[in-house]
Amino acid sequence: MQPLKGRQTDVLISGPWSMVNDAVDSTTANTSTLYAAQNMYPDPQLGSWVGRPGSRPMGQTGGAGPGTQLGQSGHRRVQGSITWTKRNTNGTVTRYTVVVCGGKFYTYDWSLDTYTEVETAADFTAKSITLDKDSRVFFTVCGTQTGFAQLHVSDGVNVPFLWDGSTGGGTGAGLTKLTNSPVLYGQPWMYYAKVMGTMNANRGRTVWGEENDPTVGYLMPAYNNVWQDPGAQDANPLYGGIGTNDAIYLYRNRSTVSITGRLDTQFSTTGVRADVSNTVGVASSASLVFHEGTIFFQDADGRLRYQAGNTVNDTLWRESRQTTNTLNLGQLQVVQAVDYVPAGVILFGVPGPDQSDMSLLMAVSMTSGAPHFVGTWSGFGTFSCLAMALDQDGVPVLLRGDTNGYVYRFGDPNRVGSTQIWDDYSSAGVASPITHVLTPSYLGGNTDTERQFLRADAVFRADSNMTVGASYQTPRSTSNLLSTTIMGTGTLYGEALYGEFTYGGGTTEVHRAFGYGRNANGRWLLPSFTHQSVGEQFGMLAMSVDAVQVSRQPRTP
Amino acid sequence: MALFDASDLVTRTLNLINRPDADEAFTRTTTNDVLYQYVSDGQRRICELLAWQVPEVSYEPPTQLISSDNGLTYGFGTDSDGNPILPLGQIELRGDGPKGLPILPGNDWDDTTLVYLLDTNASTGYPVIRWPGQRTRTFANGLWCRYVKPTLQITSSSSPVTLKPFLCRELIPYQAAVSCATQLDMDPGPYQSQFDARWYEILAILKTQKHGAGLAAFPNTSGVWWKRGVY
Repeated sequence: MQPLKGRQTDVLISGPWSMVNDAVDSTTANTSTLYAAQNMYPDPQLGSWVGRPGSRPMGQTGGAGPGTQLGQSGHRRVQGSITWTKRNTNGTVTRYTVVVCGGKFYTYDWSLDTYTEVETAADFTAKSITLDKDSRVFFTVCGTQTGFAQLHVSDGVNVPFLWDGSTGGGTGAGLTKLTNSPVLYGQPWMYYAKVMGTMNANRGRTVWGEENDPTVGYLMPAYNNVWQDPGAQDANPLYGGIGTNDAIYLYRNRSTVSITGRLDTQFSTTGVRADVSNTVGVASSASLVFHEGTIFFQDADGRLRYQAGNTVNDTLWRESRQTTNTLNLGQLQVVQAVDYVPAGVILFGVPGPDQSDMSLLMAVSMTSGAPHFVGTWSGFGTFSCLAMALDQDGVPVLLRGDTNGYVYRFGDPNRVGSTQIWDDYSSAGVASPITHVLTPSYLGGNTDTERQFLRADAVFRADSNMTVGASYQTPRSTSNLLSTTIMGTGTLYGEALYGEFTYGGGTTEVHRAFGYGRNANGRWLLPSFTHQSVGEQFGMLAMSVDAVQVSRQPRTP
Repeated sequence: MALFDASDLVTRTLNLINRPDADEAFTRTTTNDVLYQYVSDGQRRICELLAWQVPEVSYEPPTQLISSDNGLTYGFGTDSDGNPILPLGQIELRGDGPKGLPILPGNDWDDTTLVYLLDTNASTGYPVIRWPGQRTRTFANGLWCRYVKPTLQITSSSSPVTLKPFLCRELIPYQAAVSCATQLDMDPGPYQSQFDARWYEILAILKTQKHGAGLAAFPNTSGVWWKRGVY
């Protein structure tokens, strides 16, 4: 386009981006910050932001069609899931992906895409074990007297039990009821090879089993394995705990304490306590995620936090404050978080506006070094379970279990072939497009000077064909959606054919310009890019806007 | 997209001013509605220039004019948008059928109905043919006219482009680009220059082709221009 007559054009650049800051304040924006990102995350390697993987129901047993509905009538909440890797006596390992739904205990076969109810109601009855049909189930892998770890299962309502990987066969083979353990509240944890947890009946007490023997310990007179929270500073009950190699961290609603020292019978007196925070705690024990020496959690006010040692950082909340304010803060006890390693993000499942279950994922990434909020993932409906599993190749896979008996697996963002999923499939196996939104920060923010914004230039990552929409907002108006089509010319290494594809490149950068019109004027401009097409991926690297200063008006909005 | 249809003219205009594919600069209500307006304005201007310089090339086929006041006035009717038609430039009027004798323009003080006046109907305000001194004149086989009809609005890709002759449609994008540049505060000069250069070339073609046309109706002239010596 030819230049304007006698005007100096400013080029306002945004990107590459490292984080999201959803502050509605035009003057605090900067070029490396996005205002909003929906269903996007920063690619750990390439510097672009890419669309999240899609998901499809498990149990399709053929790669298509409806998934398998778990649970039983009236009890369809997916209560929990984990992949437990068991070391066998000969040194080999066996992986079990466990799903509990509606009080039923299943294992999932990744190769066949089928579920097996490995322990039936008869098995539980045979061992006098009760498994609640609706409550969230927490898993902990713990050592046992057999010399090999077993899976500790706690539903927060009944006495926990162990599972060793066997099939029940109607006799409850593989199940061990932990009759000496009290009912535990929330997620148990391991410390000094002992299972620890908060007593459900007295949440001022933390109890533990014996080292590599979760069948004994706890409140048994011979052991008296209990730490009583003195409650001098905060008498509120414990909501969560987590054990690291360095310390135990115990969380009340709005305070946190750490305890270090060997976990033995003298622990209640020899454990060294240190205040971590007098104001910050958690509402959900499942929101605690330990990642590379740092604990990530969502506090009782919905604010994302991370904690290195005894120092709590509130950066994540300051970057996500507006998003946090929209959550149903009265339902934070349902929050669950996972370390989604393949995408390099930690995901917090949170209840969206007016939702009683999780309906939204808030993402945190360490791609730029320090943890930063990187937007939200949505479009799932509500879900009751969020988990990381390992597929048949041992690759981490993100799982989401809904309240209707279906578990969905997400695609692998890093691999090719059948594990690539770029749409969200319903329980019936019908694909819906994922809505990707990338909103760079406010551009041109000024106290009184108005600009006419002329055009936007954006660079996209065309892993596939894309139909991209662009729009903007100014203090004066909102634009229509401008649409353009991009042909993806790159192809992934190993899938390319000589002479037919651009060989060796999985990514092709494509530039597109968007012409702005008469409404693109004001003190600032907030551009936005959207994508929503079945079968397509979306990625974006950076953008800029050309603008000219036009006036300073005393009544500029 | 056919050559010089509405979509083609819009695309050519966008190419001239080098706008992105995704562009809202010329959209107020529907996509590129402002641009279609500029194309429409360009068509109208070129039609008027042709009517001024070489109206014969843009004449409609002979059309019968209808009187609703017993021969006092004859109207040109309304276009498909319902607007009254004002013939552009010189018209060619023939009495008593399309093969009737030509009727030449005159003055209101002429004491005859052998000449016509072009003015407006007192009640409707529509352009009409009238006879001097409020006379009436009727024709057994009707009053017929050849004239340049103003072009219609081009509002979308499906709108017909009516500018005649066909080759003149090439000029429309240049004129539309001038409007675009003016709107965007760009320099319209380059597009005006392109319009001017091509306009005179096309005009020369048409002038040569139609030189002296219509003069056969005038006394002491010949319709064969090369015998006439002077223009």
